[in-house]
Amino acid sequence: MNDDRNGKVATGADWIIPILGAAFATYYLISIKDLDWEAKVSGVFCAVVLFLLIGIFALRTAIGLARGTHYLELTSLYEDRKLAIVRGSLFGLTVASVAVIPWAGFTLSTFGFLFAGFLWLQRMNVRAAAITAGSLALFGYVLFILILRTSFPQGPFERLVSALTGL
Amino acid sequence: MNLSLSLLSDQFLLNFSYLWLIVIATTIGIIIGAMPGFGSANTIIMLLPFTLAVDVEVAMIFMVSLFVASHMGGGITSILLNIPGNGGSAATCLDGYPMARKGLGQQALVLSFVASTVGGMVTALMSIFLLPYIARLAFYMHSVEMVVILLFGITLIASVASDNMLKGLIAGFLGLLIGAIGADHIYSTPRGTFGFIELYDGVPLIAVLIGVFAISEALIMMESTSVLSDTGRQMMQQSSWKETWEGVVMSFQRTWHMIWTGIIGLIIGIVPGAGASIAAFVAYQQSRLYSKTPEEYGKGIPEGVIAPESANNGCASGDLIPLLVIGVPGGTTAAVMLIVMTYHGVQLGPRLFIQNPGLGYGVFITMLVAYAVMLFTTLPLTRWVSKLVLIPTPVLAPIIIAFTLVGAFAPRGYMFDLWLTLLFGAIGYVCRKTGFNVVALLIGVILGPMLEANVMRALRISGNDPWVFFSSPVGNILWAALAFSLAIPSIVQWRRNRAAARVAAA
Repeated sequence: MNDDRNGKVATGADWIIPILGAAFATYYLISIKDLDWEAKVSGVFCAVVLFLLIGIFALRTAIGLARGTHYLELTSLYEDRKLAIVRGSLFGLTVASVAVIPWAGFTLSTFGFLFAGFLWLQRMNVRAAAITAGSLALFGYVLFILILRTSFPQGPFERLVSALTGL
Repeated sequence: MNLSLSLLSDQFLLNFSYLWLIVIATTIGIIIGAMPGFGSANTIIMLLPFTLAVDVEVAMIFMVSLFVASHMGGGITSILLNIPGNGGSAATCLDGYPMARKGLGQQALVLSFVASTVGGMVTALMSIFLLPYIARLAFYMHSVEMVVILLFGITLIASVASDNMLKGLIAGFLGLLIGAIGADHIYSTPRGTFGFIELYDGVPLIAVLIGVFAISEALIMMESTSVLSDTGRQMMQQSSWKETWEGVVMSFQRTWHMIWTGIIGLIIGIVPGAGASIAAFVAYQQSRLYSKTPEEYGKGIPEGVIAPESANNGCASGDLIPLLVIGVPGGTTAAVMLIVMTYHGVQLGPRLFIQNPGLGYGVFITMLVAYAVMLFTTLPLTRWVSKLVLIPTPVLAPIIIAFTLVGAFAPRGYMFDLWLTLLFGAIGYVCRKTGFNVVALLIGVILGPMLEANVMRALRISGNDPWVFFSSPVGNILWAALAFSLAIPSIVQWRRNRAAARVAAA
């Protein structure tokens, strides 16, 4: 990890990716165990090399901890509570906007996401947030749905425009 | 292959008569190049009704112009937002974004455009005259050599782009394993799909690209209210045409750099499947290797923008050479072009240059004209485009997420891809925060299916003999280069540590 303390290397949060990697490699190897050799040779090679690299990483960290050149900490993953809340809110809003797309369609879900994002993150006033989010959502509708014909699920807005204009 | 002055002048005149079409195609190309998820191949596919309806010469002018412009456009978001428009511009983030953070976004954009233009034009010119000779290089690249090149690509990125090579390699091999998800090429049996039918065709690259770059970057950028430093903000607010001119001067002070990195792109582009992402990283690594100030790379050095951009555009020329000379497309867009040309009854390969040499050489003339046009249409835009970074991050981050998610959905139209993008966004965020290089992860996912296809082919041809991977002289040289690329950073680090220990002891 990048943050050092008196020349020491932080470790802890940087175990997430190796653990995820090892778990996925194990699952991958189990999923291919009954397949023909040709279908699994490349995957086995990548998984074995990945295990090897994670093993070296574990060994280096263990030696570092034993020698005192490494120290344990997790805070660098989220830095501070306030920032974690802001990031969590943005990610939560994104998840919510994706979840409502099948019912609200692209335009309304984008408008809702941007409107809420501007209000919550930038503390924009309601009018400015509504105008900015509305203009951007409308621009997205024209570019991605009318011009590029992206096949997003239709929502009330798209159906209304289609019924009124035939577009 | 009869190349004559009259043939070339005819092609120039033909292209100038379709200047309006080139302007339209390059404008579309620049825009879609800057939008992750809307690559040139997808756009040409969407516009197939047009390319199939018009004459093949007109279709090629349109497709080639759009193709080269998309290569150029990919650098815009790499520099300003740290989000590559495509795999080929991922290396541009390494120094382009730090330049933008310092308030040198306008200069970085000009460097990117000029390097793209010079790299593209020089390699297009070289392609015209060396077409019959350089195409032979492709014949030396069989599945064995391709396996080594692909592994070389991963180790190179891990050693170049990462502060910590071990973490870079873990990210790269995790990417390769993610790239191995999906049904295998021979028996069509699903592997590592978690039971999702949407993963049978493999992990969609766009979802990974947008997740690990755009979503994670949007989350990271919430750390401050602006992507710019305080001095960078002041510089950007006061920017004028002077900065554009500065960028032009900076570029031409490094003319030779633009040329040789473009040639690297051309050579790598000729190898079918190797692609712009490898070319850009190899050029970046070579640029750093021969630099007098290698420690400045990654902090916002002009050469760090020039090298990958020039190589990325040089690769565009290289991509088309195997398509025209041996009928094997060098990349996805070239494959779409192959489909259009075949529809029009064009026979590719050596016959093309006997039956329709104008079409063969015309492709590179179109490239020259398209780059010249873009220099006049895109360079003046840098002054305004670079202001994008002045938008406060709490406004910019939701906009990035909203519009890049469209790109994740567009290619396949599955809601599943949106959820996958969010998953990779979270993975990308953790990677960035803990020092695992996201570029290595992405390149691994891109190269995974290619690695598998070439491993399988090599083993089938050799009757499942694993020693086949050490049977070719070219392959063995590449293995040695791979070992060298892994050993050198460790040796350099060991020597540095030893020197530091000596200084401390003294």
